Amino acid sequence: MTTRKVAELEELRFAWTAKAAFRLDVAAFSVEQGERILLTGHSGSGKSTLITLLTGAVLATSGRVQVLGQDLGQLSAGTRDRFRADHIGVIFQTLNLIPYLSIIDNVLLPLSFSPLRASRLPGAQRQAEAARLLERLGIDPGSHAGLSTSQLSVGQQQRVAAARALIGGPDLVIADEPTSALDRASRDAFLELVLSETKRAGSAFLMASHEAGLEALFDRTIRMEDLLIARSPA
Amino acid sequence: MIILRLALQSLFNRRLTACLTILSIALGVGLLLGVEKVRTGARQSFANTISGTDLIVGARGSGLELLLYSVFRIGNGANNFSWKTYQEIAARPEIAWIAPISLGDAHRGFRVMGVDQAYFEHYRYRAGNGLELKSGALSDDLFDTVLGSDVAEALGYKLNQSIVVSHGIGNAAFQSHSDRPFRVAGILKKTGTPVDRTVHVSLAAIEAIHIDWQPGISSAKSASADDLRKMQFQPGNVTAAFVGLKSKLNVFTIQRWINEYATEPLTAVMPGVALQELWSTVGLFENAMLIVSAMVVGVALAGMVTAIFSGLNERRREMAILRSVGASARHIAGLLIVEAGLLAAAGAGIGLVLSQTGLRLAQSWVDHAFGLSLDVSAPGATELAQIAVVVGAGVLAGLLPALRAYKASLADGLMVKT
Repeated sequence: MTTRKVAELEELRFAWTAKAAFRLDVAAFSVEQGERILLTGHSGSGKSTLITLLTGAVLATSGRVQVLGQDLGQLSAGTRDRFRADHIGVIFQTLNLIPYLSIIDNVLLPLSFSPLRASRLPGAQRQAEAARLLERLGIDPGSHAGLSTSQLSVGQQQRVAAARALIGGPDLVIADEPTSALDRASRDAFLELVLSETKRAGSAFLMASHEAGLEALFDRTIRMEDLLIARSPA
Repeated sequence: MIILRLALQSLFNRRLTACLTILSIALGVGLLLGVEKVRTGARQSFANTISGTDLIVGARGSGLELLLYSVFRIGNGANNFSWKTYQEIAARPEIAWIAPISLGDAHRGFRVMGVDQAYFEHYRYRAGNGLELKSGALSDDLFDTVLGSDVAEALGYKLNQSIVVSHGIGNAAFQSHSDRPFRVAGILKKTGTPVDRTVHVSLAAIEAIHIDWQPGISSAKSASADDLRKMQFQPGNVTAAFVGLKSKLNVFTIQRWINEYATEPLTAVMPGVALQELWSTVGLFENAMLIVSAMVVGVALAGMVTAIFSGLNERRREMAILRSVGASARHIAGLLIVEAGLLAAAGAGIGLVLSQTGLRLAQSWVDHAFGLSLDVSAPGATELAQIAVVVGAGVLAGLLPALRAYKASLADGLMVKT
């Protein structure tokens, strides 16, 4: 299996604002193709910030963020957004869905912003692929088709979000605490489904979580504490 | 176009707020278009009421008042001028025709106007149309009358019916000249001018009905109608006269001659000039109405912006999701601008429909109550331009929340920071 780096951070420094107390300093971090990585750490340790940097939605203060060999800092804002649409699927902790779109339209949403992902699915196949993903993730698209997103349970919403992240086969799926609102049984079922679907799609999967006991499901577990460069005392 | 689809679905999802916003914009736009239409319609209608008359002559006073009571039957002529003076004016060689009128009586709320044949012959409205009979005939019998079409229609009068004319202008039945009834000899075609609402009798008849007659006392010994017919009535005075000149070049000469007429204080006005005076008088009021309705539109748009702004905070989650699937901050700003544009466009469209139906519904009432025939034509370039301005203003107003959302989504990345 040839490995290609899906994402790579080098000498990363980031602060949300110049005066913010929280700063992120990471020497190196990378995700290989198809790799499944668990990023652990207590809340406030910078997991979400790290993930946001990988999506290119914000830029590092200094250092390099590369996705698929492309330095995000070199791209214009619009190109970065297009790049994210093309290569990255994102699952949030909760409230992943656009309330005014149907379940299927929520799943299809990334295709509207990424001609590349859309091109992998000819028009007629899109609905079918969305339905297939939903079904694989345990949502019966037939019986749920008419429901509004608010009628779904939190676990169901997370599965719809996972289908949306996966559609069109992005290279990297990033999930930020996707299971923290789920009970243990739903969490395990959800992770199992998402992990098998990302594997099937050949996507790398990076998941941030503060929960213990998930390490066995992933290829690699990285602790946030180990990533951060110890700052010299002032 | 994904942004348009998202905007439509998002608005549909918040349809109550959206509908209220659209409604308030629609009311403002409807008012704006309606005011504009009434304004131009009224001007058109006024300007159409008299044409082909070079001068209107009346007793000394304001030219505008003279125009209003002689042509539009609004207000009362303060004074009459004498028949002798009238004859002297009529004798001027520059004059092609002259039509004297006498006002002051009423019939069930409609003005009674004493006229002679010259009036029916020479009075022109709307680019030279003359008065035409719908039925009956012009008659020179003393107690015959020719009705405007609205009078006949409103009161249900038929040819040869007898009607009674009352003194003064109210609708009051008392003080009526009930011993001197008139016969309906003719009914005029609809003109869309105050002529429709006028009861025409001969100048002589105005004199005749006042013979032996004093305010409040209808004499028992009064002369019978037949007796009166035998009398030769010479009008003692007239209220005003319409004058047509042989050559327009003489209009100032004659006007000055009349204004400086020594025997009796007179005023002569050119209808167009008096209308201009009217516009400059009501122009202030018109502008005020336009400003007020433009402000109503402004307030409605401000309300829309407020609604979009207040929705922004609860929509930050939605914005973050859109960003996560690849929408740029520009897409987010575009979404809000498109939403504002759609609301403004829907409001303007409904406002147009409102103003059109409203005017159509009000048309006959306005015609009846004010004698204004509003021309409710299909929306033209003016309306479309006004609507374009409103939609443009809506889009511009949408820039404010859009800019804020743009900045917020750049700063937030994919995280919703509280």
